[in-house]
Amino acid sequence: MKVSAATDFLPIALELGHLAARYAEGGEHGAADLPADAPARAWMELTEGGWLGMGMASADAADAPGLLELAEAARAWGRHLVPVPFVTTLLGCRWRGSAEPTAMTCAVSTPAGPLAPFAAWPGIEILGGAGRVPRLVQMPADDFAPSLATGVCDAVSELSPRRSRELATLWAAETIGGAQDVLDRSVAYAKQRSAYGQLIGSYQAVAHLLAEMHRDTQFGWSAVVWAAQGGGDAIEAAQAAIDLAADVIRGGIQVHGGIGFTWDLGLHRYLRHAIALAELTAGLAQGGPAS
Amino acid sequence: MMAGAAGIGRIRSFEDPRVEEFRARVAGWLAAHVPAGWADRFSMSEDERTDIRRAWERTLWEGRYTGISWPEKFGGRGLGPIEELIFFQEAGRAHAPEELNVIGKHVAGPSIVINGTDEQRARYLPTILSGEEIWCEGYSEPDAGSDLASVQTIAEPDGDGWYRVTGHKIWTSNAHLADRCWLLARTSRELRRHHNLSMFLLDMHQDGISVRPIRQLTGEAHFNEVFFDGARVSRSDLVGEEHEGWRLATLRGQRAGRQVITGALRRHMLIVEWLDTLSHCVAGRPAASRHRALSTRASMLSWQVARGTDLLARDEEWFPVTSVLQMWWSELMQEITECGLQQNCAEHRAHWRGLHLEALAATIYGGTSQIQRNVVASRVLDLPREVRK
Repeated sequence: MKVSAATDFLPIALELGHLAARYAEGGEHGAADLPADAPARAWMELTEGGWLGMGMASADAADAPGLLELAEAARAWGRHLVPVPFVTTLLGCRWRGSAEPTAMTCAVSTPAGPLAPFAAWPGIEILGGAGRVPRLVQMPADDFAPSLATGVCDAVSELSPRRSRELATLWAAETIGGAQDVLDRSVAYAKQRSAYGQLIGSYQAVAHLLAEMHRDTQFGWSAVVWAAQGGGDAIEAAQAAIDLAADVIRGGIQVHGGIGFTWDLGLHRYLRHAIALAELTAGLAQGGPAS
Repeated sequence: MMAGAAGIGRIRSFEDPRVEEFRARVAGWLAAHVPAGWADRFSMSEDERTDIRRAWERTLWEGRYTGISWPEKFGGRGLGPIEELIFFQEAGRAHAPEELNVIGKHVAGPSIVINGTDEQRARYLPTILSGEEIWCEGYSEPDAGSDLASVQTIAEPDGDGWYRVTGHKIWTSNAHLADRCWLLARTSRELRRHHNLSMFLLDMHQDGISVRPIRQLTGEAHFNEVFFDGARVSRSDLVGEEHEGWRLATLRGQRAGRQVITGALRRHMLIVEWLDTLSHCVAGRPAASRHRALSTRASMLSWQVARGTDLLARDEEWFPVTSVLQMWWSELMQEITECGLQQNCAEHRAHWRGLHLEALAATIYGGTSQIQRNVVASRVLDLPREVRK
């Protein structure tokens, strides 16, 4: 078992975070304000940079990134909402031992039927299993979380317990990345916004909320680390991490006050993303067919 | 240096397969040694409980599970924080008694190892490890709680190589049982704040000390007021230099991190035990899901501790990880006891009532929950200070 990603992997994760940030720049805080071609350009850079295959050799090569390193990458990625099927493709390549630049996704059981993120991405493959391959039947599933672009499928992907755990772990890691970004922005805001003649961060009521957000981000990441270890309750840990991340994001909206509740500030996109991933991860927890 | 006494050698990474080997060894030892009587402690008197805890200190020593991470040359086992983590986890699972000599083993002892003279080490470390001498911590005073630098108790030079101590300490846990006090006192009326304090190893068995138990809301009296009226302490029992007490009382760097982690481990041990009891109370009831959620949070605590330990071992930025531990465990402890109470379990009725009241202290001692949040806000998030009028 490991509790920290390999130190020499951290600059790699950081670089991935910078990549994501470049495609989140078009709008200040997320996908909806991006230039229309940003996702396609981000995808091209991910493909050409070999990012999608980074986890595939981990079973054989001792120095290849393991799940914890991939979680570190997903956390860096999750700081920015770039609407491309990165995490599912990263795992798809790992599972197949192939670095082909084919976009991949998984359909997961939800109350709204089998949902797959980015189901309408050009050329995307919805992973199947031994049984039949899920097909997209409705796009979009809804417009709740545009950053995930989910579509309704006619079946779920058959994921082994190990694959379900890995997917849950990376979804949780991605969500914690988003929470960290919201926390950082909330702290920055509390240091520049005044009310009643003082910076709001100097009021204990606000400072304590931010301290709790920091605590929950930290414990959420610990839960991801735990999930990456592969215990029997790993998916539960991933769910707990996502729940904490959502708490942090809600806290961030509160710290921002009225502006936090606006569409344009965009904190709601992180919350929508987290809520949607919580639902998908719950689908993984129900367990697909064993394999 | 030789490998650890048990022949295991120090485990430096959580990836080491010896982690599981050590765990099995600890679990086996605990299964054979945890006193059966401890399970009935809620129907015992406080004195009976103290007797069991005192005997347990001795048992731990005999099994070499005291001073797990102390250097071997000072009677420890020379192992590291990873083994300590495992020990506390397994002790919780095995429903082992709580340690009695917390201040001796986790506050005074480690500091004597680093800052003590050879004479002090030889005199005090063996009896701390064996549990023969119980220690208390003389820090808080009526006007110096969170603001520890305001300590008023004074130790004035009194003839050849002695100091005479006058003052009033409060909230002193186990002072009524203690043989020695890890005492923070002023040694100067002139020097400025933070430069006027010294640390002493004071004998509690002497004239000039009176201990008055403070009855807590639980009905028990674990802590005390301690009045010093001319008690004496030898210069040879001064730790470090005169006026160096502030540095010794306010741990910085690695040792502060280790102490916070040890504190969290001790609580994790209790939490594991409480959740085990709670699992019997919620079996087959709707609250079973609540128990699962609480268990997840307990596991997250252990992972946060593991991550903090790992960062500390590599001397990477660990404070943001360790500074949130007490907030987590203290509030978790309280929620577990609330859940326990709500089950109306006939068998554990007294158990949960007792623990519930006791757990109320967890968000107060060692810095209230509010202080904990202030510390994170100022030292981790670097938020602006509160404006005081």
